[in-house]
Amino acid sequence: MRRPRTVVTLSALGLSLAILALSFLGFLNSAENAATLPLRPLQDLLGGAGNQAAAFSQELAEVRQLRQRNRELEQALTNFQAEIAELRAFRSDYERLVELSHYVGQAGTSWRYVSADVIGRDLSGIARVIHINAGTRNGVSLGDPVVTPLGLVGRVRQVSATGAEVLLITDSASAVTARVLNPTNDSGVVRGTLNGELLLDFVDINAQISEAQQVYTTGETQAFPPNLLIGQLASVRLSEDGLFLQGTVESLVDFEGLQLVLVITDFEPVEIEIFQSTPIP
Amino acid sequence: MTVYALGLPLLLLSSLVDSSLLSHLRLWEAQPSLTLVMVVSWALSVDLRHAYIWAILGGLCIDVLSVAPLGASSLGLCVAVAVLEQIFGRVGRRNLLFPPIAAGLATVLYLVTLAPLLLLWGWGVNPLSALWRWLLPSMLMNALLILPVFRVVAGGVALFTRQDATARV
Repeated sequence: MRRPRTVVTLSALGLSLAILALSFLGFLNSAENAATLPLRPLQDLLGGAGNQAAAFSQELAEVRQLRQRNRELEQALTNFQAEIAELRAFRSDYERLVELSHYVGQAGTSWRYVSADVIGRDLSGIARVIHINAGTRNGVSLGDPVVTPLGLVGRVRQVSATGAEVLLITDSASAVTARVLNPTNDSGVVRGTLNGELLLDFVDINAQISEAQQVYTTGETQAFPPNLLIGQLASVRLSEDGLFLQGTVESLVDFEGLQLVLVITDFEPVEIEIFQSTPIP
Repeated sequence: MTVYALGLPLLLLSSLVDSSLLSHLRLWEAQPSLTLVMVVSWALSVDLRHAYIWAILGGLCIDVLSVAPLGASSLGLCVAVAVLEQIFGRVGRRNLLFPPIAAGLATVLYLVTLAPLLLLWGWGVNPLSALWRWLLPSMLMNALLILPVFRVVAGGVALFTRQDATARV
């Protein structure tokens, strides 16, 4: 049994070597070429199918890559959009702060300001009050004047550690001594009205006030510093009792749309009540 | 006899598939060889003489479509068949362990035989590169490819052997 196996093996190896030797010597070139001839079309056919299958699988892989890339780009776009929205908010804040810093610079005073966001307002409709997010921790104290680059806003009437309540000058309980910027520097009192307008009252009947003249604080009552812009006269008329002139003052401040204000923290209003309550000896 | 009638066309077809379709499944320099896997499957399923016939025919089919000299692959496959027959003999078609090992071993024997012949024929072969980029990936791919191929070839051999026996009776 062993011998036939060896014989078969040696025969097979010998045959292979013989073919190899003949091929090496070049005797089988023509036979090889002849055998190749009919195989080439089949090879082309299968090769074409193989190429198409490879191209198809490559396209599938590319589709997967493109989908993945698309997802990445969509995610990146979402991130960029969020970033743009955030940057726009920053720009808006920046522009407002630049305005405020310019205002402080133009004022040329030595007041120390604390900027604060308007975080709420009185919704009762009775009081014209706003809430800001700066309090005693920020140096804000009771009575501090509140302004914007466009003019006077009001004064702090309540303060906590982290916030404060500001009474607007448009409130009917508010009164500010004011002067009109004209050659005679006529003065009066600007007070709020129930409909939210500012009224310049108690102006001397001989005063030369007229429309478009600007109105500033005088600082006489020590409730506000002097020379803060309140607004400009929109109309002038005689009071009902005929003793004074009155004028409607239009502020440049949009009291309904206030977002950012400045609190003057180093102004110390004088408590004049102490003089009123002291008994005369 | 039916088996031999089908053998040559099948080996020709497998060598065509090797040179066209399977050449797209390259891993480094290597690709699976359906012809080698069919010869190994055949060798594990039939007696030695028939296995050598397929090895020589399969090798010629490979060489006709490759750069190797005619007879080189036949010699490599004959060496592989001789060693496999000594180690494994015939293997049952449900065996899942021996065929991949046989395919891996046959790949080594085939390529080790072929490499010097290619060198002799003027084709440069870097031994280290051939080991990592040619031999090992080829072993792996052929070991995987033989799992379905062996089932089909062994099943076909069993079927046609029964038919031949019935015809003789």
